[in-house]
Amino acid sequence: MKMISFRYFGAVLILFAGLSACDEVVIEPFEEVESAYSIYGAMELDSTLNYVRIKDTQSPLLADLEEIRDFTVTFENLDAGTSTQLSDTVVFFNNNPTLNFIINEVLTPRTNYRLTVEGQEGDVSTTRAKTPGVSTISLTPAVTETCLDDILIEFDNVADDEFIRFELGVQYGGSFFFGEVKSVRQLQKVEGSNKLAVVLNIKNMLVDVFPPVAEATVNVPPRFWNPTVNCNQLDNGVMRIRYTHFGPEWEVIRENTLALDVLESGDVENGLGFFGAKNTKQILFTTNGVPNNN
Amino acid sequence: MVINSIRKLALCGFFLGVLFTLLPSQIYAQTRSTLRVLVISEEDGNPIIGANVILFRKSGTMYKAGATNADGLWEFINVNNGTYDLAISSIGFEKHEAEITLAPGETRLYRTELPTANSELGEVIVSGTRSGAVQRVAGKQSISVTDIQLIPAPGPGGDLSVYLQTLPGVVTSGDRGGELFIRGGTPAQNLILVDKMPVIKPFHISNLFSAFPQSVISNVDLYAGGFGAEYEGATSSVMDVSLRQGNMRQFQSQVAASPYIISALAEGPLETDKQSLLVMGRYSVIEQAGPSLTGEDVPLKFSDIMARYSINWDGFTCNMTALHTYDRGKINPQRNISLGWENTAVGARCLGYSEELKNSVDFTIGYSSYKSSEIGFDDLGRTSNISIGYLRMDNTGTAFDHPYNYGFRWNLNFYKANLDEPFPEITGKPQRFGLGATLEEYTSVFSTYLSTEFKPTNTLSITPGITTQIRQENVSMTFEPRFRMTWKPLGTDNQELSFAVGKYVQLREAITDERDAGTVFYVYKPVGVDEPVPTAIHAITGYRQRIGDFIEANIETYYKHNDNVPVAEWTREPGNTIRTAFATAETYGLDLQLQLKTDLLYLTLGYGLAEVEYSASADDLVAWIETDEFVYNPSHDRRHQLNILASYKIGKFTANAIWRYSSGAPYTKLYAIDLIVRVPYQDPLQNQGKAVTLYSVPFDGNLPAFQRLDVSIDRKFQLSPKLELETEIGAINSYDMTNVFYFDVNTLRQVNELPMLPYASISLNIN
Repeated sequence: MKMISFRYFGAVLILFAGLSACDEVVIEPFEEVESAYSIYGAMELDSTLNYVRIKDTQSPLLADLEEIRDFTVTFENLDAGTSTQLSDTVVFFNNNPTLNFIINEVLTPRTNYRLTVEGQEGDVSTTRAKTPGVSTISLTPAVTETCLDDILIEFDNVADDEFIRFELGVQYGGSFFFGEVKSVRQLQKVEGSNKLAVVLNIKNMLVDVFPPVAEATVNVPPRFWNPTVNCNQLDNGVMRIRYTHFGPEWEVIRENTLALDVLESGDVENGLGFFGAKNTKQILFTTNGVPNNN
Repeated sequence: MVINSIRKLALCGFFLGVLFTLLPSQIYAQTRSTLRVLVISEEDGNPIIGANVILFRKSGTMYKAGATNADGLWEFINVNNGTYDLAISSIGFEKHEAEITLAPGETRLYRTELPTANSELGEVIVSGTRSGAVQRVAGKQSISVTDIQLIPAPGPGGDLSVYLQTLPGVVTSGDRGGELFIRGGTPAQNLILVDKMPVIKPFHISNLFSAFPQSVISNVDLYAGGFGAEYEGATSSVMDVSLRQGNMRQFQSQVAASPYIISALAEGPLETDKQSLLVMGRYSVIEQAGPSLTGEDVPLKFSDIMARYSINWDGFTCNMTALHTYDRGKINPQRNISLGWENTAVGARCLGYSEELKNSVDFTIGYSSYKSSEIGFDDLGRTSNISIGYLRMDNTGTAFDHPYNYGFRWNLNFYKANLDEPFPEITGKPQRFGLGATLEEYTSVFSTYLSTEFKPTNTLSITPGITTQIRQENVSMTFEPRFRMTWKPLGTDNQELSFAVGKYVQLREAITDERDAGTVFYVYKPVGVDEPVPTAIHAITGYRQRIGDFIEANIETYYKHNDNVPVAEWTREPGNTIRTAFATAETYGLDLQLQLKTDLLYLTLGYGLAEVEYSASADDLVAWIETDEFVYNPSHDRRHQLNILASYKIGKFTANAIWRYSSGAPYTKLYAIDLIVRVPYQDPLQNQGKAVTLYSVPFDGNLPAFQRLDVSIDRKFQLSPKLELETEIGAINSYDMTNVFYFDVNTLRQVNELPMLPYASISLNIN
């Protein structure tokens, strides 16, 4: 019995020794169908310096600079047939580096551009953006006498696949406040033209700068809403309209400016993010309906 | 509201009155007698657990048999008056025989002390009384100190935690975290009792240790499922730990040290054979010793202290126990997350069995609290606490010639949690658990049970039972039938079939972000009165066969169906608001145990095959998967488990080795890691963007398989009649296998379990 016991124990020890030769396995954390890079950028048509954030989606958040800088970025003007390799600028947030690539050229309206990111192992992400046209704004009348006077606001040269968002800016209490004008009425296409237009008064537009309390809007049509800061409380009658002309890629937010889900926009091929172009301008106009409270 | 509360309490009181009025403790002919046998160790005056107690007729045939419980007591009920031969035996003790004559209607208490035996004697074994790897009866396994001693542990003596991990069907989260998943159930679905005191998490942050070293354990009953009516409030398993009394005859002490832990124990009589006190304390030192032993930081700290006052009167014994555990540490050294928990339990348990009592009575009262915290994630701190005041009574009786057990419990539970920052919608900080900033709730649960045992033949035992739980808040009552059966077709202990089935309800749930294995923080809360209640159905079949004198085998198949299991909602990214959805869990499994036992060699092989599958409505569970129902295997689904244990006596040395293998845990692969810049509103030069880790299909990957070999060799030295030195040297993970604890998605680095950990421990026992 002793010998049998010893043999069993010895056999077990030999088994254990053999098991020590088993190989280790490396973990592959990413699924095989991969998203290579993320691209986030909103080119400004009138700017000669635009920045695009690009990240390898398989690099960790806490990676070192050397680990994340292993790809090249090419910017092409598809209409002109030109191509430029972009250089980057590194911005650190909490000691964590991010790569932001510089588009350093004059952009032309209604031109197709393509941004391509290519890694050292041949993984590629690409996205396109078409710059919008250049629109101008006209106000009729140019100067109003009261805040309740209707103003015809028109934007011209807006293609069907483009749209405008605009904000009213006013000075109150020494500070400037802006609000996107959307509550009372929306811009509508003028039939038979490439114009967008809306008729509003200053009080209507103030509703979006100084929104009324929720209780005051229940069962009340928006055109009767009252802003929490009235016209006669403003510092002066000098107003700003800041408008952005969006290119066709921004369709995802045409109905709701908060709806841009960059993860599901589908804008980047084999990647994540969003890349588009816009044109932002600002004009001043005055009303005599505001006493000078400065 | 006051009137409602009074009404509810009245209903509870009425139910209790019905229970004790309509179920008289005895309905039997006046000629039947009761014999209570108390078996004590002559050496230390402590109860002997699992001693075989058999009544033989004068003709020599066996009449009734049983095995002593954790108090050293066995009760024969409904005995015909007459003269019998009583035989008492236990491994390691001299056998005792006596003639007993019982008068009609007599209740007799027979007390005996067994001297220690020099050699093991042959004995008749009563089913379910022996411990050992193969001693499973429909999910129940009795674990003795002898079993625990066989498993190498880096501390002085053995520990229950290390032993449990060698059982098929028991899965841990790695070598840290203090979590045990038993046959598909989660840690929150387990009920752990220490001398009937509920303790939420008595396992230390290093999974190599628990609050139960072998030096204080008397016996452990582990029900991996299919537990009887006497246990309520859990839907997976029950671990019933019995602690031993302090030595009633002589003073003893022990000091021990190893690179992992130092400990001290002192016990002795305050009044010989009447009162004793046992105090034990342990403190970890691995944080200091780990770097030099393993070459890496081991930021784990834990300690525990236990005191036990025991008093034995004639026919009455009381034990008062106080337990406190403390754990702090980072289970992922690379992340700045500090986890911690503390258990505090104080209770008294009294057992009355004197001849003046027609029925023995078991009464327990006490208080238990659990406090946990997680600090550092998202730079936020969180706490979750439970406080439980409890009272329980267990009684026995007879009705229509059948013995029955019944009892009641009353738990007052107070839940308190502070989660994230207040007003997260203002600060912009995410609400991780979707429960709001604070949780403060109180519940009262009253439960009762009734079970009886039918023995149509000497070889067949059938135990049906029923458990009910009543919540004070809505006076809703659960209905939980239970059924257990054992059968020895050959009429001997060489072969046994067993079966258990039951329904189980749990009125408490725990929520965690299970996708983040770098944390073991749970938010405990009561099941809301309007919420679906977690419920389980268990079914277990078992077969045990002894082959020859040395080999024994046991095979069990089991099935668990769980409804309304709370799981974290699967958003694309972690760290956002996490709400719970409810999943259905199905667990199928098979456990096989083989044992070879000779005088010198103890060899076991355990194999477990199991599948755990969760399913939930995609609408409830997942924001972005386009199927109606989503089915997945959670992280504690380890398909195959294999354990081989060998223990061999070589002269005065004992060599132990255990090799463990399990399939890799499911984990969720990544789709991408990104910083989202919300163009056009955010400028990439001014905003870092929102960090997101986008998961792929949940749990569709598998980590590498786990395997580890632990070895040890120990020897005792008798330095003097009163001084004994125990020494042990060994190594955990002796061939330095790289086992993955989990994969950190923030750093894309795998976090490994500890490498090879050599150790040497010494224990000095002073009598």
